[in-house]
Amino acid sequence: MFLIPKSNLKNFDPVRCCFVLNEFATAEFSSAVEMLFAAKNINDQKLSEGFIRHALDEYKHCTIFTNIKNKIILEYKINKKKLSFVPNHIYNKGYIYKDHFIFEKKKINNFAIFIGANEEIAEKKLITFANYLKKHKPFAFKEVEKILKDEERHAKYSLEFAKNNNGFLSYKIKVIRERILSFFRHIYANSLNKFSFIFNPILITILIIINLVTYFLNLKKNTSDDDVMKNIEPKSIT
Amino acid sequence: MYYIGISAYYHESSVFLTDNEKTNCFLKEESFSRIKGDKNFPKRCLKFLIKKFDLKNENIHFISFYEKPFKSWWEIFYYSIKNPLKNKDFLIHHLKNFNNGSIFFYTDINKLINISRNKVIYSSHHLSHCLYGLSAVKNISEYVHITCDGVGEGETMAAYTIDNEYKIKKIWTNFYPNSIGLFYSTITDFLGFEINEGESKVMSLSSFGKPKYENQLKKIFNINDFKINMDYFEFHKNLSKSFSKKLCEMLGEPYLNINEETNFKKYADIASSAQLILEETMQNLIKKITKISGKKKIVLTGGVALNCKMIYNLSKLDIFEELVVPPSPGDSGSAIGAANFAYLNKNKNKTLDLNTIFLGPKKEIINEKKNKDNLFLKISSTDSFVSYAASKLIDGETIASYYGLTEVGPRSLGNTSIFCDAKNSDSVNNLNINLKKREHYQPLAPILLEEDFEKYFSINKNIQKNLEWMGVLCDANEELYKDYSSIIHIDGTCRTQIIKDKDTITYKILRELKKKGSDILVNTSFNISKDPVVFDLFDVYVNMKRLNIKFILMDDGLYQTKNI
Ligand SMILES: [Fe+2]
Ligand SMILES: [Fe+2]
Ligand SMILES: [Fe+2]
Repeated sequence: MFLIPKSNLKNFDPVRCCFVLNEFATAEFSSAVEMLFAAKNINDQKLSEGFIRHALDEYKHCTIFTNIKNKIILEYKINKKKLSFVPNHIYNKGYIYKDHFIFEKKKINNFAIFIGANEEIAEKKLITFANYLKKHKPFAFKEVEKILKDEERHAKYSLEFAKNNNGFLSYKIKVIRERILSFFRHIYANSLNKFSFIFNPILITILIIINLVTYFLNLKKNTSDDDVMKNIEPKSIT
Repeated sequence: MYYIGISAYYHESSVFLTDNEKTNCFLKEESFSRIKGDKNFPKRCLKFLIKKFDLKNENIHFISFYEKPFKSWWEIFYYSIKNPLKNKDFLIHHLKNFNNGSIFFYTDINKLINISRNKVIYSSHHLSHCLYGLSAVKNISEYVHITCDGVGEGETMAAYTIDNEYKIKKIWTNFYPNSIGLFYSTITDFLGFEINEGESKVMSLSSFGKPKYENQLKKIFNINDFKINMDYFEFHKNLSKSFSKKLCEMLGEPYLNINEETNFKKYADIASSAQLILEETMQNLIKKITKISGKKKIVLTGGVALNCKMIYNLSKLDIFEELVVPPSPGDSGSAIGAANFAYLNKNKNKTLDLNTIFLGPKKEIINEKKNKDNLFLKISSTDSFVSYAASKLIDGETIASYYGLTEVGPRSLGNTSIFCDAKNSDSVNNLNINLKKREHYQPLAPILLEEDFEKYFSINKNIQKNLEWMGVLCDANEELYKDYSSIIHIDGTCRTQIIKDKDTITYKILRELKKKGSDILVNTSFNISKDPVVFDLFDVYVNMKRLNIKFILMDDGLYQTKNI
């Protein structure tokens, strides 16, 4: 999990809780996809197998969060439309970059540090959410505990690999750097929609201007065309 | 020299490469990214093709995009801009999308292949649908080509005729927002399903209800002149829901939980009513177009054509001689239409000659051999492996398939499927509910040899061709109820696929199965819900583990997963 959902809930609100569960499921799914990509593209069979196992764990975590969510939805008769997991939304929510997987941009030693550092952060944040569940939904806590154990193992394996393949000092520096980067990545992701109050008035002004211009436009539409291939300009985008 | 067609940015992105000789390669971006419905620019598909076919400016005739990017963007914007303040959320989103959308297609392409500007061309949305449809029939001039979808370049329905010199005439068009596709997807949204994914659920659900809301819905979509009443819709202004308060006043509360019986019944009635409106609209459209064109044979494309229940009900009305819907009538299949546009543009009076519906790559092209050895263990390699697999199926085992060419379209047609014996109701239910996590009201599809079809099923001759790619429903005969009732939908129909080609492994399995006492398999796509169909051997491995499937049939044997 490289982008961890906000989960600082206090009192039990089933809708909020399901929302966070859905975000966690999405984050787990995203890291499964990242791991699977790494498994396919690394030239070392043992490491590839490790990534496959990691991907399988992350898919499993996604299922666990989804199942807990579905149980709460049923129990509290919540509208599930806004709480359903839509794979395509992963990009817009920032869980996966639109143009690359992380493995494509990092060498394996740095990738291992990236996973290790972020799995540690995920584990810490998940503990807070797990305690919240322990208080309000004990059945769910047991399931999330299994996830916590996996995340701990993922972090340990990755960091051990990184330790063995980086010099001591460079390892320490890189881990700290990943922690700082993760911090900023979260700030960025959480503020994605916060600048709209500046831009929206500008955009609305542009819209009103376009509206005025189009007011005088009278676009004709043809319902038929006698020779479509002759009348189409292949190089034109309009 | 290659022709490349691309469909992207709005629906699941896809690419089709062909030399119109030996090489055809249809790919979807979701196969590589593993994110279902991935609509980003198909960078990974293209990287794969560049590597496999050494693509460069010199060996490409044309790269053709499936629609006119600016027109597509503008037509929707133009409708909403009439009320800039009321529709501001939608418009702002649309403005922001200008940058990330298809208008910069050439720039996106050029980042991957250094291609000259005059080799990048743009087809037109409904024309691409139509040109893809040509691949499904011979004697194209005998047909009228109808397209019907949500919206593309501001058009929602169109009809074309093509003569033997490939002169294409557009004979009629309907315009946005008057869209039966958007009407149906709005109902999909109202009932709590995701648009673009839930339409097939609405179709299945409709069989459980009665069209009690027919009269109300006819007020919001006119089935005679195909006009929509926008008071009931918000897809032009609202990003998170497509219906207005007025629709809620008419139909009641949206997004109810359909696991509760009363809600289920009500929503099934709404689904049934929407399905009826769709069918009556299409009936009138076909009557109108056959009258204008004087042709009684139809090729139907566009996303709406995926509604196989509609095709089935239309076939009973005697309004056409033949209706063909190709395997991937939606926008992703339009990559093939776009390639056809490029071919026609170059050759003037010839189109692509695509002889198969399996236009995807061979499994050997996708995978390195070492991955097979690393991840799988061959358990039966002699010629009898098919017979061994058939025995396993009879014993109640669920077996996945991964062989031959990859299929095009949303349905797995045997080469990337999960099978179980349709006679064994426990296996069928386990596959549907536990493995695939489908809803109880969505039936699984049967697959059988062509020669056995008439024993178990009936279908009108006028839609029979679509059976080869699971494109229609047919009626279950009494014989089917004896042993195979678990695959029959509540309304007595099945989405059956027939296998003709004797050289395929699917054919051989069905033949072996028959010897052992069962004539029909259940065939469902090899994926977990919310995931794309498996593409390479890593996906196969991971999905077998996730679905707990023990056996996989490949081109050269039956395999199990290794423990890694
Ligand atoms: Fe995880
Ligand atoms: Fe993890
Ligand atoms: Fe379309």
